[in-house]
Amino acid sequence: MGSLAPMDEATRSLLNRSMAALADGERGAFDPAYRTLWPLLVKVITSISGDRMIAEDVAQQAMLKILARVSTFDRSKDALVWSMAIAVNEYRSYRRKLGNRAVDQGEWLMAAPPDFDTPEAITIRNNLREAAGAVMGQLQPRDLEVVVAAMYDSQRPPLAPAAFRKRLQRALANTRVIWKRLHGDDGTG
Amino acid sequence: MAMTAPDKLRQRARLAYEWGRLWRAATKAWPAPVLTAISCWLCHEPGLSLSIGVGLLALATGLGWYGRTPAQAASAGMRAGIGAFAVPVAAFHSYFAPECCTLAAMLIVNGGCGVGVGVLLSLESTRLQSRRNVFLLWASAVAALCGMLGCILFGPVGLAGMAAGVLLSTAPVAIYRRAIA
Repeated sequence: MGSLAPMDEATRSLLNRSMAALADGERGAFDPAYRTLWPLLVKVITSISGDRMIAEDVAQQAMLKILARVSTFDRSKDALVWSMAIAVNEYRSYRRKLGNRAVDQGEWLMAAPPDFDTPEAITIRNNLREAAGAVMGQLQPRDLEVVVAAMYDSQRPPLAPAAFRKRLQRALANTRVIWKRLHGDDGTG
Repeated sequence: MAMTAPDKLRQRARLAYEWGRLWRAATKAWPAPVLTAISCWLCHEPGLSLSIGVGLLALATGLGWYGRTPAQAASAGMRAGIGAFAVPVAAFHSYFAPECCTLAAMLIVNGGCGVGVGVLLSLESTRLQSRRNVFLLWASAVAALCGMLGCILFGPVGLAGMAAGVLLSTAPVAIYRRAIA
């Protein structure tokens, strides 16, 4: 998955405020929340799916779900993590709808993606992204929360740094288990 | 899934937001149908119970959908209203039921219950920073409708007693606040 620039404090704060206001019924917060959420959703789903078109498609559905459920948003939680959990679930549903196309668990998993844009390299990169997206989609919300917080440098759950590291470690261990279950063990640990 | 133009997506998102609010408000108004069903069963006046129940459901859902202070008022009014419903029903079915059916007793039970609910809501409204009278108005309306579902047992006098009790205890508070504002 490609690395994303950390979300700046002002944007995150604006998103938290807008979502809390929307939950209270402040219609004036709709446009700021919509404008802040849309690029984030597209960015995150693109990083999972590796396909901008699919990402925009899934982001639309995720946006509708997030806004339909925003009245249940708990203001003590981080709006970014809450929204991204819905978005990842939406991506998971999208994949399920596609019939969970069987991924070829062959040699491509062993091969390192070459750094040039040949059709083969693009296919390998897309397959890897899709495989990683499937794994992310199966993580528990608790694990997903810490992984998203670590990946996008967003607001962390209210934990001591040591406890956060421990939870992240556990979440990564669970990620490996899901990866092995879905895509097999390549023997590299 | 099909891609949607940005403007159209914004409209759909807004609609999804409003429907989501409406659905949540309707689910939070769950005591309304429950109280209506109990009222129909106990009072044997289904027409009147249903009229008040539908009004209560519509009011609580509308306030919850609107949000902000009115939504808080709907929740508080519903909580207080459950008490206002229970007291007259309990009084009517208690050991003292025969005494409850005199005009004076009906006014005391229903009016007293209305006054109690009004005082509770007035106290609760003092916790708000602003729009206290709006809160009091809508919370009283919801609580009075809940209470009236229980007062059907006592007939029109019971209904009037409950409404008058709530009005008499909340109106002076609202007028006083307006005067000193």
